[in-house]
Amino acid sequence: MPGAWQWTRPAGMLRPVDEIAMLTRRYMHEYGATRDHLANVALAFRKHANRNPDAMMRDRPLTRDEYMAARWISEPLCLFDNCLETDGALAVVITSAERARDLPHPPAFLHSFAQGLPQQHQPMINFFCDDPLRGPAWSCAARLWERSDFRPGDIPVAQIYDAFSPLIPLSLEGYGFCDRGEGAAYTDGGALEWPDGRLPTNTSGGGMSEAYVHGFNLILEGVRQIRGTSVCQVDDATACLVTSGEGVPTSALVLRR
Amino acid sequence: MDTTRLTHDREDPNPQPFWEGCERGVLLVQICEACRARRMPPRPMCPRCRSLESRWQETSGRGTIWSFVVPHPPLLPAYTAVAPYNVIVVALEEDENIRYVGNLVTSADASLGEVDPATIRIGEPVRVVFARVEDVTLPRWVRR
Ligand SMILES: [Zn+2]
Repeated sequence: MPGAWQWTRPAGMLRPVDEIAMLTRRYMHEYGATRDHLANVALAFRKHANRNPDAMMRDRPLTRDEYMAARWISEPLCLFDNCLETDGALAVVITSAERARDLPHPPAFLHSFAQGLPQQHQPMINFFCDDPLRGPAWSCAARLWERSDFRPGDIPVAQIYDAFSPLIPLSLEGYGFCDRGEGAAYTDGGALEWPDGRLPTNTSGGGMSEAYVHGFNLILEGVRQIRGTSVCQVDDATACLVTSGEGVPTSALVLRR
Repeated sequence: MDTTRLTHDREDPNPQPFWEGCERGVLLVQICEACRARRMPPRPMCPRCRSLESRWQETSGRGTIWSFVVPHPPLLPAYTAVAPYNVIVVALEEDENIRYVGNLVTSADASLGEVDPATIRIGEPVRVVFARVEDVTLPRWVRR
């Protein structure tokens, strides 16, 4: 058992879901987040997937009662707090802005890009550092927004890495859509849902309800939003945030028209 | 319980004093010789001052539950047999930023599944005990 796993695996913390559930329980304790908040995330992404002909969960609606009755995977996380498992192949073509002018489809411009991880970080088991609930998203966001003409308040739509539902409130805080501890409450009132939410998120269904292709499908959906071809198209999608996973060394980009 | 493949890394010299401490029945923490900052997991360089000088210090062996989870199957067979069980993160009494992962048990050699998960609370005071599991000794925790 090499490296960091020797500190966790013998106790039966075997899977990524166990590691993220540990942070989630602490997050709930510190900020009063509840399973209803996590359900807000799961249900929003499922609704988007139900409109998406390519989504694995296209024909599988999900209710709050079904979420609450689902079997546990690692308490406090249940089945529907987890992403899907998917075999898939996706591609993105990156070229110069000049070359893109001649192409048949409108391009999505790479406006800002950043990577980040904080000091003392341990991937997936970030509970050893001084401030476990301030994950890599915070480090990444500082650079991302520094290099961007857009601010979080200017972003009308987002694709946020969702291997597990609690990564959404943690990422909303890290990327500055709300203050620390407010990410769970942010999801209330359909905030993540297309078309009326204040930040429609994972508009193709994301890793939890479209497919889990290690977050790469989030990039494709970001491009569709900028092109105007999403099944949950946001009006005036001038920019879209796309992130990779919170809780591990991470990265993010801002796409724009 | 077959944990042979899950036990500690004998190739890496950094954590060996920790595991040797467990053999002797003491919970150790690595401490920087230059700035006195404790660190866990062990590593060669101090994350605060970058000193490469460190030693191992005996802890109180007491702490509080910082968070916990209750894994359910699918799990590896040895863990499925005792599921649902708890995994806890314990914050050390003398330094809340030093945390250990373990299990809350009723006694050192008790099954991992014996504590009713519904009774576990963040903030509960616990103390370390040591369980011999095959060829290694693992720290576990009991209520105090
Ligand atoms: Zn130091």
